[in-house]
Formats: sequence, C-alpha cells, structure tokens
Amino acid sequence: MKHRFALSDEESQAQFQLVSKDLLEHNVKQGVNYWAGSPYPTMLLWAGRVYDFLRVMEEIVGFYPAHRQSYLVGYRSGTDGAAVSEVIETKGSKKAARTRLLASGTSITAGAGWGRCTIEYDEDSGKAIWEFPEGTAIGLAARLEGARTKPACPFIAGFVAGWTNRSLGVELEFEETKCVGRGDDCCLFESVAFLHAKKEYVE
Amino acid sequence: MPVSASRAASISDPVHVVMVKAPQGIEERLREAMEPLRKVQGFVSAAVTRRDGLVIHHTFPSARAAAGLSAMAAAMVGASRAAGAELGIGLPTYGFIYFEDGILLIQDAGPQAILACLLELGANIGYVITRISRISDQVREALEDL
Repeated sequence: MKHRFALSDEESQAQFQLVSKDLLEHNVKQGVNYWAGSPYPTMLLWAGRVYDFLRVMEEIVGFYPAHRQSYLVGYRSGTDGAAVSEVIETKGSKKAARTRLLASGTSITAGAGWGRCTIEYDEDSGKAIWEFPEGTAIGLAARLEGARTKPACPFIAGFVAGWTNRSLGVELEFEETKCVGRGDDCCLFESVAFLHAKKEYVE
Repeated sequence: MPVSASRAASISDPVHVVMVKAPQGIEERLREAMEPLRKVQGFVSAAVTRRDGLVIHHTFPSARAAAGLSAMAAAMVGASRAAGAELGIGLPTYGFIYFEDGILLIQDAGPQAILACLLELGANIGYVITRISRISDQVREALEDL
C-alpha cells in the first residue's frame, strides 16, 4: 500500500498559525521564547545561519564528516519532535497511529517555516520520500549564497530520517538527492539502503 | 519544530544511528579482510568507517567505542585532505598519531571508506603500514561491490 501526505495552502497557513504563533510563548523577564510548554528556550534563527554551520564545518573537515554531524543534529530533532507528537496520535490501530504520525511531519515542517513538503511512503518496499517542491528554508538560503555543487540540507535529511524512523519504527537512512541550493528544482530526500559516498563530493 | 524545544519529551540516543549495516556478504568480506590485523603484534582494535564517520565494521569491544573513533577518524581524514589542498601538497595517503599510551593509524580505503587502527606503543609501524595498505585494498574492493 502506498501513502501520500500533503498540505493545502489553507492547512499550511493554519499550521504556521499553530506552530509558529499559538504555541510560542514569550517570557518578558528573560526576553526568551518557549515553545509548547517546553523548558528549552526557542529562538528565531535565520535559515542561512543553519546553512553556515555546514559550510564552516565543510571548510575544515570536508563535506562528508560535516554532513554527518549536521545530519545527526537533525536526526535528534526529528526523533524527539515525533516523540512529542506521538502523544497526540494515539487513536485507532498502532499501524494507523504510526502512519498519522508520519503524515504530521508535513504540518510541522510547514508550520515551523522549514518548508512545505509531501511525504510518500510505500509499505511494501519500505521506501519513503520527502519532497519540498519549493525547497527547504535552508536550501533557499543556500541558493542565495551562490551556487554549490553539494546538497545543503543534511540537517533536514537527518530530521526527516529521525521523524520517519520514530514514526514507523524503522531504521532508514535518507539521502538528499535534489537540492535547490545547487540549482535543482526542489529539495528531495529519499530513503536509501546504504549511503554511498560520491567521488565528486569527496574530492 | 524548534530543535531544542523538541528535546523536552525524550532525549534520543544518537548512537543507534552511528552504526550502519553493510549488506550480507560484504560484512563477511570485511571481517575476513580485517582478520590478519589481529595477528599483528601490538594490534588493539580497528574500524572500517564510512567517509562520513559511520562505522561499517569494527573489532572494538563495544559499538560505542568504535563509533567515537570512527567519527573522529573521518574528521581527521577530512581535515588532512583540506590541509593538503590548502598547502598544495596533494592528498594524504596515511597518517599516524603517537599518544602517551598508544598509536592511531588511519588510511583511506577507497572512495567509500577509511580504515582506523589502534596500536600499542611498541608496534612495528612500518610492518603495520604494509599490512594496512593491503587490507585497505581489500576493503575498497569489497565496498566497490555494494
């Protein structure tokens, strides 16, 4: 069975209202924001600065080690984010709840301003694809910095991996096969059995 | 979802994602390739790591120990390559670092992998490099078939 999840314009707007406005609280004394009752401070950060973390690390240790560190941070965000949402997605069978939790990834990425995406999941093959037709916020920021030859969003790749794995109880790895930051028409993250290093990214 | 806020519910352990499963057959070939290293005097442990630092195969007592070394080895190789480019002296072939209580030897093992080997201080480095070079070729060949 194949699943496809997407948001309408109205749903994207509603998720922005919920995730980025209604659930965000400001502590006037601290001048710090908090999200959804979490004790961890939350702040607004330019997407280009997230890209800068990758770019600066790349200059020192090269693409793949930098990619992995960024991916791991995104992965933790994805797994923990799905864990928070998991509490809500309890109706119906466990399988249905897992699928709904995966689907809710579209709401979070759009609502948080990371990018509006569609998620496709094929139960039979186990293949999952997250597509951001207009690009992720980080990819769009990278594009503004100038053309690059390597994908710019390992953080998002890690996030979608973490969210997918936590939702479905699987262990998938994701590769960013398209990135607007290097001139592609969208940002595309596809699950892969084994991530191969590309020679042109190493040299 | 903001990264830090999402950590409120549970703190996931990223260690479970730092070990990748090589397909069956490849795993066996890597194990066989590494086996001769165990007979080298002064050998402690070794790991085959993906270029991004994820462990593919190792002989360490725990996956956690192998994961840490592998991530660092990948970063060292990456930094060495950047240094080679910056200095205009080409690509690194292998490197070893003497510590107070051991030696770390790192070598490229083809486009996909890096071989990191931990040795005792008294190990014969020249001999180990010879062995490591041969094993690196075998690792490269095994991973080319992926």
